[in-house]
Amino acid sequence: MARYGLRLLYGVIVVWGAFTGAFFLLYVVPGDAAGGLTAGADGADVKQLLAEQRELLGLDRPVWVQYWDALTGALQGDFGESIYQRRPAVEVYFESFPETLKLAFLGLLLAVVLGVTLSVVIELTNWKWARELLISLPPVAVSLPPFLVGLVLLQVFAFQLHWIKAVNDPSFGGLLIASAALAVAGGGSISQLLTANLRGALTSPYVETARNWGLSRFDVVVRHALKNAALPVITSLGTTVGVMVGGTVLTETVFSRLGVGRLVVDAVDGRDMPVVLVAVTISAVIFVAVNLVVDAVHPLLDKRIQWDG
Amino acid sequence: MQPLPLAPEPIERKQQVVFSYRPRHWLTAVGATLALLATAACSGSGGGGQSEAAADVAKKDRYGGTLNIGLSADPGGVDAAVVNQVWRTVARALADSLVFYNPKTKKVEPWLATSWTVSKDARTYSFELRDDVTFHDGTKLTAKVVKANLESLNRPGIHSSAKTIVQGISKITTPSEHKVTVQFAEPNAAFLTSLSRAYVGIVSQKTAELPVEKRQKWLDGSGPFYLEEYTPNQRIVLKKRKDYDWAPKYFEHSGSAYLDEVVYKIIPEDSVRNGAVIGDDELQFIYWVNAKYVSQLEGSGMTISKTLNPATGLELPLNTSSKILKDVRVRQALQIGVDREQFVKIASGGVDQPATGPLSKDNPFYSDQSELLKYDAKKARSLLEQAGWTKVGSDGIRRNADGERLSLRAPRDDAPLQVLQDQWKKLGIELVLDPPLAAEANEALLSGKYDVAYWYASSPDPDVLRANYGTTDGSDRSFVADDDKTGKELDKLLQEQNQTIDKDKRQKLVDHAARILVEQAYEVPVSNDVDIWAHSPRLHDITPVGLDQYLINAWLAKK
Repeated sequence: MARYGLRLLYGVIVVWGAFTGAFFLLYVVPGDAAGGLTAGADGADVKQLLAEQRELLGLDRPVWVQYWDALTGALQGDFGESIYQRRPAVEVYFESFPETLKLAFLGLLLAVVLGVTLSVVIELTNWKWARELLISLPPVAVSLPPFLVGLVLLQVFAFQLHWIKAVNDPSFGGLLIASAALAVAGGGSISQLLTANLRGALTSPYVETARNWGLSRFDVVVRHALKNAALPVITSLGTTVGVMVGGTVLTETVFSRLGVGRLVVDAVDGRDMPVVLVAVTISAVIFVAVNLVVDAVHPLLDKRIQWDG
Repeated sequence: MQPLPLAPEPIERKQQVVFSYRPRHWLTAVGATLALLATAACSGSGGGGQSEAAADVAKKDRYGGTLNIGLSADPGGVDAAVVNQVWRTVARALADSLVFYNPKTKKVEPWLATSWTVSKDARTYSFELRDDVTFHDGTKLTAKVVKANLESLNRPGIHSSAKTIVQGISKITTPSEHKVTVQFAEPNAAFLTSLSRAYVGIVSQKTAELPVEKRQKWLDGSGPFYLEEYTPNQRIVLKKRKDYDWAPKYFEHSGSAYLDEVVYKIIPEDSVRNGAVIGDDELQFIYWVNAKYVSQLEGSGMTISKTLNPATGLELPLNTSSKILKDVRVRQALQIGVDREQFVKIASGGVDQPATGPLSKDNPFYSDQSELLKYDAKKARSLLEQAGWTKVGSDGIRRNADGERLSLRAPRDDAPLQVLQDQWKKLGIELVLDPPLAAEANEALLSGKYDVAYWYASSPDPDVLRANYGTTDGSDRSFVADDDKTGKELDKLLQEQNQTIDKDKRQKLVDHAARILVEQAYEVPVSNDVDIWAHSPRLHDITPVGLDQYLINAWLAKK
């Protein structure tokens, strides 16, 4: 248990580091929220508008004071108001968060289903040419950007088949197709890793034994080899979740969905510090939590893995 | 076509992004391709016959329906008084102005004010108000409300340029319930036209008193529609006011608007917006269409409207204090080194118009300076030689006796600036395209680090020239040096035109100033914007009026 305590401490340090890093990164890049707020002002008073906004937003205070305020506020759960939407940044964030969570979770699920199915089919395919063709799919899928997949899916399902609305379809169908756009690249990378591991597993002695028992090819691949080959894939899911959340920016844009991805990109562009800090802090917490869970799951899948102490 | 000031990305094309982000370029390219596919799939629908038949639809049969409009980004608020550039979209429908700018006669006409007087010295404006106007919250329009409106624009926290309109007001009095008098410390001839803008849309007393952070999200206005819902980054819903009956005469419309409801949907991706207006009737109207999509939209039966924008368009202030451009000969070489005919062909597919002076042809004080803007590469080269830029290096860029390169910096990197870069390169001038990030743009432009600048300022009044280039009162966008005598003369003319009510006298002053601006190259006018709007053939009477969009007359044919 002490082991978990230590890991938790590391987790806290990671979250604090992410918060602090985001604050200072956003601080040092040129431009600030006053610049963003006054963008588009076309009068002779731009200089005064800038100075006035800086004072009102407290951006004219020393950076350490601003940082201390942000940090102590955050510790009490108060990240301040979004500069553009003029309401608590936490509220703005958690309005979008469930949308992104749905999208990313369904995307991940689809990616796993796609990736695992493809890898198993590859192993079960007898014809050499078909097998080669299937093996070439994952690298292609990995290199397809989600927005391109998204536009193609919209073209087919919205503009041609009219199954979903092109603009922010709230139905499950709309969500499914948006997450499919996200799942293609993730599925590709899962399949790449899994195929390689299955290859390795299928040449191991225990699989030889299973074959000698007279088990069918399907049973050998799915019941025996897959379980062992899956371990590194599960480890990699920790990072796949991150990639997924990153990919939601483009998917949300293409499908005009409310979401954390779009929110954060806009917030960074406009130097909306409170929103950026909420987003970074929550993302860091999720990353830490997911990786803690992945670590905890390992011993369940492979009894040989045990935490010391 | 779409130069717009930047705002926190992603905003309306025009509304927003001048400084485009490079990664979006390939995104757009892919989008365009797919959108073409979409057109192919959907063409054949729609048709001109339908719209001809529509003209016969009796007025009483035009009522009803929901108009869906696609926006590329959240406008950041609904009240033009406090948020930059919302007037281009939502705000106009929510709050009416005291006066109406008639784009045909180019004159200011009655709206919420029935009549007015302007003193000879352009310092005192007196308005007589309609007595039948109400706000959405049920309260009545009175002189006191107008006073509260004008005063509300001049307080801290407002981050739009609306306050420049009321700057210099020394006193507002309300002699009777429906009479209001505004006095300026200094003459202000531009005030009346400024009042016609959505910036000064009149809102209820309660709204006028709201703090900025509340007012940007909510308002009770005097317009034909009221705000029903505003969900940032998703949608803005307006509903019609049944008791509205004070549209400007120009529209020949009595009573409430035809449309029941207007929904603005935020759709960041160009091709999806185009697809949604073509495809399933999800949208019936989109703004500021890039010229490259026009043939596709037309091919699928959409109605395209092209309107000359009264704003100046692509107009580049030159930094006359910069090391290279303080020499007027180099500036003049830039001026006549632009092939404006070729520019509009390449940069906008021939949609925009070549600039013929510092003001658009749609400005009531338009001043034709086309003689001074003729393309003359030979003369431009000889001016550069005279200025000492004689040697041409192996990179094709000129150098002076000290071996310095003739290299200039500009704050945009997009198709139009790339065309200019090409044209000037032929003369041996390097134009480095170095766009600032949106959030630092104002600061960077004010710092003077650019030789060639870009701002978006628009107004159907010649005073926009003073606002941009005035030094004693104005933005001094060409960084006039203290010892620049021509600059002083220019400023005097610019200030004087805003103190002159007599139309002919004012025109002479504007002509003179325009001539100096162009001849001495304080700025390079390149092209005038033509706004392209696309809409479903079901939608009628939504042509733009000047800078603003009015929805009072718009109606949808039944499906």
